[in-house]
Amino acid sequence: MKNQEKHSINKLDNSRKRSKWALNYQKQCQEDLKKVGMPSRNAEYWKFASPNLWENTGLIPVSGKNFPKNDTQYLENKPEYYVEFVDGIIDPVTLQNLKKKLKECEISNFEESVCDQFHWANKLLGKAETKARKSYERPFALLNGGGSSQGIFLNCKESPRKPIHIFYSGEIEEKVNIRHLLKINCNAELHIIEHFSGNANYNVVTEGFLDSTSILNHNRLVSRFLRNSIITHFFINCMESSVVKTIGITLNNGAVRNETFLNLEGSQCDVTLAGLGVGRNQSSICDNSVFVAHLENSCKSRQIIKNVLTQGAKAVFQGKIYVDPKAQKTDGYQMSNGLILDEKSNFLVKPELEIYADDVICSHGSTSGSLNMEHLFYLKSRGISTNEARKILVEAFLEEVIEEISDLEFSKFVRKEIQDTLI
Amino acid sequence: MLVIKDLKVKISEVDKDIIQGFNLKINSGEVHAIMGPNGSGKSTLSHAICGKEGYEITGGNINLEGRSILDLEPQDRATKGIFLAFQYPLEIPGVGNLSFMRTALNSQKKARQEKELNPAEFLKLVKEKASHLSVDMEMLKRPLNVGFSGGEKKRNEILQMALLEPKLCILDETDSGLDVDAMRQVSQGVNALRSPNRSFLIITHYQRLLNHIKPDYVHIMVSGRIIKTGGPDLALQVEEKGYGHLIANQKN
Ligand SMILES: Nc1ncnc2c1ncn2[C@@H]1O[C@H](COP(=O)(O)OP(=O)(O)O)[C@@H](O)[C@H]1O
Ligand SMILES: [Mg+2]
Repeated sequence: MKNQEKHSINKLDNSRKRSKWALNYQKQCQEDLKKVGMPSRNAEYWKFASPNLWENTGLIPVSGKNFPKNDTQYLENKPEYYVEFVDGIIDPVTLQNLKKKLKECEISNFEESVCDQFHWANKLLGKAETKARKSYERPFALLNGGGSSQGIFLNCKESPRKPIHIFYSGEIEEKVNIRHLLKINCNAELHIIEHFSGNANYNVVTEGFLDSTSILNHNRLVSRFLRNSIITHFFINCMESSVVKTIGITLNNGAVRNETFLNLEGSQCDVTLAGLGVGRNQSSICDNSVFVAHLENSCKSRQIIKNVLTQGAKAVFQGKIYVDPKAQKTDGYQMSNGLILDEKSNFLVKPELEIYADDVICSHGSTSGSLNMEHLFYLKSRGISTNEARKILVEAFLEEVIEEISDLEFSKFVRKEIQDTLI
Repeated sequence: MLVIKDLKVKISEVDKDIIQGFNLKINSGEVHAIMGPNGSGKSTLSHAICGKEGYEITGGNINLEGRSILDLEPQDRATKGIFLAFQYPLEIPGVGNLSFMRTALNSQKKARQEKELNPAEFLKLVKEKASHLSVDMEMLKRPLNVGFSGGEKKRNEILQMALLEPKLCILDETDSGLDVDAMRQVSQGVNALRSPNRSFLIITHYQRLLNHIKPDYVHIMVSGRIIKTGGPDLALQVEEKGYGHLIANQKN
């Protein structure tokens, strides 16, 4: 992986114009990456899914190219608020439109943000990431930080009326770095829907900073048509009484690793992480590695993971709940379920609780099994075919995650996508 | 309609046959009741008729309308008109009651090459049938049987039966766990379905259900076979003297 590092640094052609705060961060990432190194096959945090699966992710795209407008868009009508990254590069027209329409947020792309000496992000970039690195090193995020030039920086001051969609489209099998920064001010509510439908190998890092009593709703859908590798990092810092709900839907046939770090720095936060995966063959690997840090009292966290696996597919869940001595009255919950439809498939789980406070409720559980034969017989005894009955039961298994999605249009779309995946 | 001849059934978990030479003939329009002590094989019989996996037929035959159904899958038997109201209806989280019933009805219609119902048509039909059984919209919108009381589950079974309009209705202890009012509703639901081309096999422990649903024949089942057949008065005899008396008589 040494080559890749060099490659990404050499390609940074815009760096001259960057402000000092951005350059410092970038340099720090590059230096830290040199110290830390890319993860090796036998690193503890990678023992279930080899880091090699993602070695093709995380280079910057060649900038200044045309935007091939592909017409294989997933929604017939584009949503009101969206930006699109085509082959890893932000489509300036979509950004312009979004800026015009969305009065509730201040939005800029990565490059214009980091060239602005007084940009609001100058004290935030990398701060959530640094906290996340205290639990585990995140070399792929460092790789991203050392070489990003694309992304959006979004300062949410009031609540937009509708979700903001981020599309990742394109045909070319590029290696792509994307970096987002979200700041949500007191009382504001932001809903972001990410949709991966492009062929690039993505390395996406999102840092989110939630002021007190703010809300972040986040959905990520990886299209059932993809076979590429995707690694995402989602580092969220939560102040008092903020609410996070992040839901990942992974339907593709490639390797997806989502590292999520939720840092509950204020009291009375309420966070939910849900992950759903449908793996249909042996190139399908869905890895959710989650760390929830309860640092203050009376916070609530829930993790719900559901993976359906067949034809040698693999799913990984590493879920940790950390409870600081100060975090009394913590309510932590974690449940992972694997529905394994054949003997070739694997559901690998490592739940961990690390608790230093005494007045807490933390429960966790994990199940892994095949379809319930009694349920199957009940459906068939009513005239429902074996195939249809199996489909109904698989969908029912996933329903608990789907019903967490708050945007009705999106949940309808997800249901349809899952049905089509299961055919 | 249904002819069971010298049927022997083994389930994978148990070494010996649970059903041991069982004979029964049900003509169109007839109501047969099977009574018997716990563990005599009544549910095993009903599952075997429906074709549940793991129920091995080691001998004999089951014919429906002159044709053996032994090589048919449960869903094909259902399409041919066999319906079982389960003794323990299953709770299936994540499956909506209403959409389950529509899928079931349309699957059968499709298999019979009849026109399927669209959601609006189905809703109209289900509302009409549900009102007679005091099943309200709230129950229909919930996940299948999840959190239903014992009585609600049984009424939900009878509602499915009313929707699917089977030729042979098997009721496995539908009366157990029902209070007097629910028993009356369920019985009315069943009686409303009685017709010259529909037959019933009613499995019960208690004679009281048979006060509401008048059987043509009552069979006593012990250790996997019928030991005595009679009319409705046989049920009264059981109620008075218990099974022990009949078993003792048979041994003599
Ligand atoms: N899944 C099973 N595993 C082991 N034994 C079973 C199973 N199902 C039924 N049996 C046994 O088969 C016999 C008949 O059971 P069943 O048909 O449920 O009786 P009934 O419905 O008349 O009470 C009983 O002895 C019961 O213990
Ligand atoms: Mg029984």
